[in-house]
Amino acid sequence: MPASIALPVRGLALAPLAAAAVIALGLPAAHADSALGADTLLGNGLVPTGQDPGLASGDSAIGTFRPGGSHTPTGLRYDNLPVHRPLRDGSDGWQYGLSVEVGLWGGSGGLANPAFRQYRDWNNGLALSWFSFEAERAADARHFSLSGSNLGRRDQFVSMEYGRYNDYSIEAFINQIPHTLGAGRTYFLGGGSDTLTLPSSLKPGANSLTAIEAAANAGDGYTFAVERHRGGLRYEHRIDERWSVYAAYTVEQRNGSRPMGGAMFFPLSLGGSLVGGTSELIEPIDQRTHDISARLQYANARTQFNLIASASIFQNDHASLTWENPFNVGSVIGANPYTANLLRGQMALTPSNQAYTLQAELSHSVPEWARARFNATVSMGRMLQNEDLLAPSVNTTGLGGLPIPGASWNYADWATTDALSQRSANARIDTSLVDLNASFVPADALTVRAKLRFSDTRNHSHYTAYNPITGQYGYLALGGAQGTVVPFEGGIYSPQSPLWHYRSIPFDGSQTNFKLDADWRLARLTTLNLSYEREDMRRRYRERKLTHDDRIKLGLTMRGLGDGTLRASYEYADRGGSAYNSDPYAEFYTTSLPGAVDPGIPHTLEELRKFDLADRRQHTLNVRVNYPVAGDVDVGAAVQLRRIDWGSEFGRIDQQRDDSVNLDANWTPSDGATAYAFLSYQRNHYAQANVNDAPGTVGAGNYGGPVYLTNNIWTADSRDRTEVLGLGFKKAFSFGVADVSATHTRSTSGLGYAYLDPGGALLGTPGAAVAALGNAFPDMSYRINAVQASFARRLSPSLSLRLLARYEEMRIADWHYTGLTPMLSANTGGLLPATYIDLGPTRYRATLFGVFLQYTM
Amino acid sequence: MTSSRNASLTWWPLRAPWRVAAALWLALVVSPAVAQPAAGAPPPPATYVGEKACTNCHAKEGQNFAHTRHFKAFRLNPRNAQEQQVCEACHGPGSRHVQNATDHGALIGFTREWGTPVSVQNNQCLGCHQGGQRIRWAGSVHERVDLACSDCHNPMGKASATGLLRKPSISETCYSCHQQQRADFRKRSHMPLPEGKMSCEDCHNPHGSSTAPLLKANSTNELCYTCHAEKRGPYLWEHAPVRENCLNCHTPHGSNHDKLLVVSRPVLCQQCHSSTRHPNDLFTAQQLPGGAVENINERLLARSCQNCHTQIHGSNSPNGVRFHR
Repeated sequence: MPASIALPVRGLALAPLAAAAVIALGLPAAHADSALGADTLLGNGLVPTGQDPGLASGDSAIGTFRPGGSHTPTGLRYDNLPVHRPLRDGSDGWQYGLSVEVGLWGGSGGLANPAFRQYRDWNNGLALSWFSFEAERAADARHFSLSGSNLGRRDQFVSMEYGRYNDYSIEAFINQIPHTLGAGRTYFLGGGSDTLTLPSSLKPGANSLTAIEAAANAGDGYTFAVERHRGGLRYEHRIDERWSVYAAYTVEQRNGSRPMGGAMFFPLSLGGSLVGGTSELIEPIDQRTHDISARLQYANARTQFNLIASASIFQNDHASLTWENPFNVGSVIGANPYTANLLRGQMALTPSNQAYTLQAELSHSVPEWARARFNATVSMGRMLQNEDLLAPSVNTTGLGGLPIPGASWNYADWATTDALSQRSANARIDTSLVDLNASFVPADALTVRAKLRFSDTRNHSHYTAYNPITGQYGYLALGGAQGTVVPFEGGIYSPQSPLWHYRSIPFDGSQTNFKLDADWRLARLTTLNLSYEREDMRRRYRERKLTHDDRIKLGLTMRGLGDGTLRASYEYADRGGSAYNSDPYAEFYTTSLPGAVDPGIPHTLEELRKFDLADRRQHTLNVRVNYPVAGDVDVGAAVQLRRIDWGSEFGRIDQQRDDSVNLDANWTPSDGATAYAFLSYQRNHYAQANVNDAPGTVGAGNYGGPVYLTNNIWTADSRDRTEVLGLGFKKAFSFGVADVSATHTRSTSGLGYAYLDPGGALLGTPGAAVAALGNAFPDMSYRINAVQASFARRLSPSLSLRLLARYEEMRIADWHYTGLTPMLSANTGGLLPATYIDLGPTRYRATLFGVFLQYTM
Repeated sequence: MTSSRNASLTWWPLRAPWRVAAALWLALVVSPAVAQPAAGAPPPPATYVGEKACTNCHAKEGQNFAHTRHFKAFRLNPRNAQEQQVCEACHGPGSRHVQNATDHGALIGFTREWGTPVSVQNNQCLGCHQGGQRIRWAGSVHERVDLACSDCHNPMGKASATGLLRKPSISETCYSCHQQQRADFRKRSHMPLPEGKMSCEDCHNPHGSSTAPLLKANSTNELCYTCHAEKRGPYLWEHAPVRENCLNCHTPHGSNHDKLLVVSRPVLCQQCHSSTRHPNDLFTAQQLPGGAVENINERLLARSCQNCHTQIHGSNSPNGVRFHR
């Protein structure tokens, strides 16, 4: 038997596996549960199905008396089955089989392009592209399997299973998921750690933009990537005819870095000069998630019961990211001696947290009561986070703000956890769910069902921004930068600065669903479905206390559409609710404090409706047809049309359209030959409207009022179009097997805009002289073509050769990144005080060749 | 700028409902082309004939089936009398089939050609496989649209690494009907499903769940936290649409925009935000690099609003009110 497998967390060491290196035929990878957990597929770019790539395809007949193949009840043709090699006799009653495939990859072109490497490792070099070993002993039904691919590469996986058929199984796996995000240059030192420092050419808080630009352009190359190393153990045991247990533990280690923004005030033009400064930062990723779940399961002919417990513990090794600020951010009133004290910025990174869930599920049938069946699910959960909070300021000395009475502060009073109203987050959210279902069959052709579902979320998290040292409510906005650039905008409540969000909002609520539905079997193969569902959502602290969504759905299933099947449905959904309050948050702002004077600045445009709460009417039509047009050809078509009519003047407006048309065909022209083709077309359209506010005005927040002038209205239209084409052909010749596939994806995304008054829309000042605004952004586009061809030939009963070639090209245009450099020159001249590391996705063309030799036994 | 609720009435199916109804009526009277079991007097009950009797004729089936987990369980460690029957554990007693192999009512078959009702087929599978991950099958959307277990599974052979599926992988099985998602996963921004690092079943339970989209959790967010626990919080400062539903901003199967977002930033954020100062400014193409005399607006570049409002999923900083920290 093979050596035991080590499952470390970091830098997964696979030496024992490599030493064992037994290999076998297409074998079962560790199988996850369809109800619990992820990792249901272990594969990679080279082996996307997780199966032995060397398995030969059988002929088209899966049945002795149906040489042309068979179809599923829907009319889908059963695929040719792969030919699995028989096991060989070993010792002590064991039989075994193994296979190993090693290969050499070589390629050119954009192999280093982050987009090409996003989720795959196809670097040049040797590859253990597949290995598997299977053993079983019939006498006691024991079995063992081990399989994997690309050991030592960033997309490796290994799966192991040991058990006794129909009794128990123990599974273990490792799975590495690469995620390359982007690349560029950075002047920061310490990338990947929780402290970013400036190079020797720059001093914190005191550099010219020219010096920063020089450092940015001379910075070291940097690639953002996050590697997920996942490992897990699963145990399943069939205790007896009724009881079984399932338990799983998985751990994921994520390492790497991601780009994130670090603002010290946004770049602001003031009479030809620019203040502010934002640096793109490097977020360190050193995180672990432990997931434990267990299910106790009971089933007999009438009653089934599950008891499920799960726990998830997330740990982040970095509580914060501190960076040295290269910018002298300036101020709106000219020289400010306090800007020199803004040496650093500090970001609180995602906190470690835990979640626990307990769930019970019951299903009971009472055939005597009109074939009744009752289902119930009860669940309770809790999410916790109690990390120590950071001090409000990472800058410790000198004054911040501006040298104006009431507009400054002493950093020392904020650079300590004594400046907090509480030392830790003490955040908690409790969830609960009760889901009840009943179904009856009062007549052979009629099934009726009722459902009642109640879920509740209670947020017990509370925080007040208050400094006990100074006795002030508030915080340091942008770590002090905002109040250093603009007087009385520091985030600290004062009579001159009365409007700040100072208390956290514990968003929570409840949801109730009530549903009635009926299925009427019109004919032996035709069923009509009708359902009505009402969903009420009650929210605390949102603009709408209650929304209700009424949904009516009509469905038709015809499995006798000739030899095929039609499934169609139409759903109408209408959402409304209680009155919309555009500002329900007053109690969380300092204007609610005793003695505070409301400055009269509206919270938002009163008529704007947030789309998750807004009235809307939705129509969704789905039609799916699967049809075998001949014994060896089946075609499928799926169409979805969705229209959403938004009942709002601002926010999402007018009609949202989402359309999708899909066709596919599968053809088995002869034994050992298969072909497929698919074509998809999608288009989406969103429209929205907003109003720019007139700068410096106060008053009512209604459209047409003093703040949101009618001339300042603008709209935007987002239109997406996507086309996908795929073709494939596989044929077994006498001299080998050829397999060719090609995919083409093309998408275009347009964003247009319109306005009444350009000055009003852009600046908030109607009639202001501005340059021509145009009416659209350049279209974003994405094209990717991939062609892959392989040829496999058996050289001997144990040896086969596989040649593989792949060509892939990608082109992309995204105006978010077009023309982006580490530091930009402003269109009006001078440098923009903003630095970037990730300069966005770029096109690539890559050609790869692989030669693989597979040995089987 | 008025809403257009009446636009729904101009949508083509509603203008001519009679056309749609007529098409449906014509379709409904089309006689099914699927073979039906013979009618007549009830036959005598069948008896088991044993696996050898089956494989005497169905050698190919026997060869393929021998590689499956069902075969190994039934042959090597049957737990009850039914499992001991191997082939007949699923197909039912075969004596009448031996007598008349063309009688489709004599045996439970799982292909369209054989014609056994889907409910009978499914009940046969559920006889052993009910409960557990399939406890919500009855009344699930797949069951209601008359989907058979054998539409997705082929227990007669090992076509897939796990699950005895009809296709080589979970995703390809789902794409048979859900072609739109195949296209979605080929968009610029997608999770690593085509790359073999996840499958549809990482998020969905096709056998039924308490949610309409058959999620493997009780809510969208709880599902997303399975792999994105770093977004779980709870945070000191929460962002309401994030706490409520990840799908307010993201689309899970694929997007033409960065980060699986439903539309581009900054207009995505501007669908909800119109507070005074910059959130409600119109941003234009002239503010991009190389634009007209306008200054470059960094709110358009790279991560757009998230250049400054970095911690958009929630912040644990005392200064994180606006998600800057």
